[in-house]
Amino acid sequence: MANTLIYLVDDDDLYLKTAVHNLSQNKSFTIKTFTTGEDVLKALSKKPDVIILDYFLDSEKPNAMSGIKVLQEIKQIAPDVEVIMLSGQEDIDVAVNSVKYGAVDYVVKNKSAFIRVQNDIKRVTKTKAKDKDQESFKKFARTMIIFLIFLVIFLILYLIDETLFGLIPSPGEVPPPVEEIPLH
Amino acid sequence: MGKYKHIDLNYLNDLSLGSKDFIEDIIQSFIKTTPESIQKMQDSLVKQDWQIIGGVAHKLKTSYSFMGMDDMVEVSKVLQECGLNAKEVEKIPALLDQMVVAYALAEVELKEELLQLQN
Repeated sequence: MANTLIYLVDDDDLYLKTAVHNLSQNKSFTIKTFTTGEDVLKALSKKPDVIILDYFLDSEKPNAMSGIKVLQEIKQIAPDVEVIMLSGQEDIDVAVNSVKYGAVDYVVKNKSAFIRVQNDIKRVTKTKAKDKDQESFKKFARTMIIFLIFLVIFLILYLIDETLFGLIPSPGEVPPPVEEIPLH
Repeated sequence: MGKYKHIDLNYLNDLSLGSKDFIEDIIQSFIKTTPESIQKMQDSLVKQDWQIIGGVAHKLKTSYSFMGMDDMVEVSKVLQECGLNAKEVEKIPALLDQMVVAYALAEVELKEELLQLQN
């Protein structure tokens, strides 16, 4: 199974530790943790497969970027990266905002949170692998179509005028005399 | 009825997936960070910085839920609401006092659990 790079963003140290402990049971997951949205944005060039992002990142630092702001930035910089939003409590506004700005799911930090997050990650990686396969197939199909078009053009031209390529002399055509080179 | 009166480590045990090291690490982190968080809220109370109180209470909710301190999860929720919305702030001092006592009682049991884990 391919390795899945997961970024986990939460300013709560206890929750980060617990999430890493639970998610790292899956050996195909590589997990990197961040405590601020600013830091995770700087690390987007490593192309993570999934980002698990806490909604309330500015709980203790009012000047820090909020989870929604970070989500918006991620989707602008790397639209292919899937984001799962985490929240401490059920809140319909949080859920609606998360999905509106492109999160694949909104997970409440309750007892079943890690199971749900793992299922989300599996779903996301499966969809990504399928998309990748489809993209590869499309690329192959495009190349084949171009090749076939060229082949058909070549055959048509060949049939219209077999001499076009100098392969077969036209009927009745006298081949040019061979020039004799005098021997000295 | 669990082994302790003020904490319930069943949820933490589930989260640990059988790792004693993990339980020990989380309890130690809780003992280290929770008094700091309570102190931060008390300082913010003096400064009437309700937003900070709401934010810190929000984070504490998760920590208390790990330790099975359901009453404190509820207290944290109220503190969060009061703090973030700057509403009914007169409730905050009593709630903080309640939290200080609950934490002190829980800490005794958590230290007992740590000793058992280390032996």
